[in-house]
Amino acid sequence: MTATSVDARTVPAGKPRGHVTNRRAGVGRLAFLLLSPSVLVLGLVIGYPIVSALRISFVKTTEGIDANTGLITRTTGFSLDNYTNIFTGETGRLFWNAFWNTTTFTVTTVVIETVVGVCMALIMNRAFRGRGLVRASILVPWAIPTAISGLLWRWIFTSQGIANDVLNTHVLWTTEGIQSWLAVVIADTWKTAPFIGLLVLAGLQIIPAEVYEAAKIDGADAWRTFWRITLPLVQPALVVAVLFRMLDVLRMFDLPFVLIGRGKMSTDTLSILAYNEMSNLRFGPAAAYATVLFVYVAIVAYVFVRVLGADIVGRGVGRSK
Amino acid sequence: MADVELRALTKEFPGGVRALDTLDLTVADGEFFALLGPSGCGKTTLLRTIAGLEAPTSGQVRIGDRDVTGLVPGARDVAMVFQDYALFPHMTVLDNIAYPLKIKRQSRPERSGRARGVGANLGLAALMDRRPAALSGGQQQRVALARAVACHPSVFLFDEPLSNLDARLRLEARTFLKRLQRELAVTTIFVTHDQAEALALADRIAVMEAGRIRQVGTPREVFGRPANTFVANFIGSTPMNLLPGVVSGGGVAVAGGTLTPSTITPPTAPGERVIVGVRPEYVSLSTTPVDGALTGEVSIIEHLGAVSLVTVEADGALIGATVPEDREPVPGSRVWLSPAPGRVLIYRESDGELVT
Repeated sequence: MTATSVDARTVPAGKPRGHVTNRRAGVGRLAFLLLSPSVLVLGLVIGYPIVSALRISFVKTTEGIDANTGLITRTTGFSLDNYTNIFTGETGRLFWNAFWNTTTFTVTTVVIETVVGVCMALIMNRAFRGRGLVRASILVPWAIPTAISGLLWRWIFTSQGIANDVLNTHVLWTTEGIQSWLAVVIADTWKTAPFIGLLVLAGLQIIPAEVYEAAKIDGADAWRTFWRITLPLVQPALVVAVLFRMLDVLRMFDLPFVLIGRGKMSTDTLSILAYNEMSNLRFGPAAAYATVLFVYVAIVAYVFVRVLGADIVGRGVGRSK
Repeated sequence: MADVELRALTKEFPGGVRALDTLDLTVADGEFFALLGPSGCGKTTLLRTIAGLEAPTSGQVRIGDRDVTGLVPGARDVAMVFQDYALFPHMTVLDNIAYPLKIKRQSRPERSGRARGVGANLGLAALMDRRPAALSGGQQQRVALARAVACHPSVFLFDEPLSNLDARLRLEARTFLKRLQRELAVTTIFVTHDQAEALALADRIAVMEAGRIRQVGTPREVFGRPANTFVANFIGSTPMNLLPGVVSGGGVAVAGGTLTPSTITPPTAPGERVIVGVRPEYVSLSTTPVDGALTGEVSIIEHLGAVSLVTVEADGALIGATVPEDREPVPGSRVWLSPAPGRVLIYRESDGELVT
């Protein structure tokens, strides 16, 4: 700010160039002023917690008894122990297990939800009697708070529950093992496939009808039209939907927590580990877990946007090779 | 190559709107045929029914010697150019043109060779790797044409392909389109609401109103002898004079004067109410008295370039006449109007049909 105003003053007034610089500086100042409230709020609610969590994750508190006075001493200092502890010994085993759970949940649910969501969108995009009702009912699961739907599915999956009744089995869904993992996947798919469906539907609705008619006259069948016309044209919306879902599932906490409970090898996620540490008032390790998860999410998002996001831009602009 | 035949074609939309009303029409092989009419007259519905995008309520569509009424669009061997071109936004120009060939399972070298050839003919050689978003309106229109040309259909269906171009480009595209159709000699059905476009392009024109065809004819017939007052009103850049009159004693009393048998062939029944139609282009204007002419006062002069349209008020009726530039009369002055012999049309007032 100061630099630009000094710069503006040194340029002789009256010269066109001076005017331009002056005005540009003025516009810059105004932009800064107008943006500063948002920047300030963002800094407070996003920047500060991140920096603070980072700081806490590097702090180690040691408590002990002073040999001379017999009083409890507490020393805090910079340390990498919170991080090294995560990856070693018993905690290391739990961490890699949770990491595996988080990753498999993400891959499985996102793939299933994408397929189901796209199918839902294709159905909702059709004109038929009672379409409004179908659209509304497809979106109901998404509107229910996760904690509630978690309880709902917990009830469905109890040993005497509907799931066992319908399947005619005696599976203990909500205990431990692959079936618990599967229960979480099923509940999560039920809950969030409508989200993908809704975003894809928005993408489908901007495809002009003429494009489909042109394909029809060319003689393309439904299958070919879907793969060669619909999917490429809806891809930008689909990529955004999938990205949102991936970032969401990577942080998954509430559904396994309510449906299965914590401390299960088959369903504990990284977020649950961080929660465990925090509920034991071990804020340093909790912050370290949160930071590791943060880095993991950031890497996945970056790779995803690089691989698929660049392509969206290419399509939109229509460059010549 | 094939002719197109429509037999008693009817299309009724849910809600009872009759877009096509027992329509019969034959378009000859290789003909450039225009469907002309105001918006909502059913011309686009007719084109879409021929394409197979709409199913008729009753009647038959035949292409060549096949009844295609029940066939899907892809099996009818037609190609369509849409008003908004309907290019595939995610494909390059080359892929767009080659897409119909791909559906027909031609090999990659075969179809891209053909697409490149057609594209080059239409001046698209330098644009083959671009996407539609990077093209101008005129270029997009040519890509849509190339896509239709490349698949070698027996019928082209054009849905107002020129209406999204600006006026100047539209004239160029018009000439281009006519030349292309001549070269390919493919039966072409063309929908437009622009009568000038239809007159310029078509071998024959069908003028439609409310789901019916009011007249089918060559541009010369449709322009020179409109079959009814609707067509007379619709065709021509300057509106035709349509003046109420009464048949009387070997002539027609109209606008305070009488047109005598030297200029018209009168209908037989004296006392019958008629509408006299004559185009402003066929009315000559004189500033000195002329025998047997209608007389009135000049009220408005509109400049149309090489000619001016003079509106004359004669006994309460407004009559238009065109005069060459620099020959305009003074507004307010008295002038004498005489229609060219053989150019006066008499319509029955009751149903608007042409009598003579």
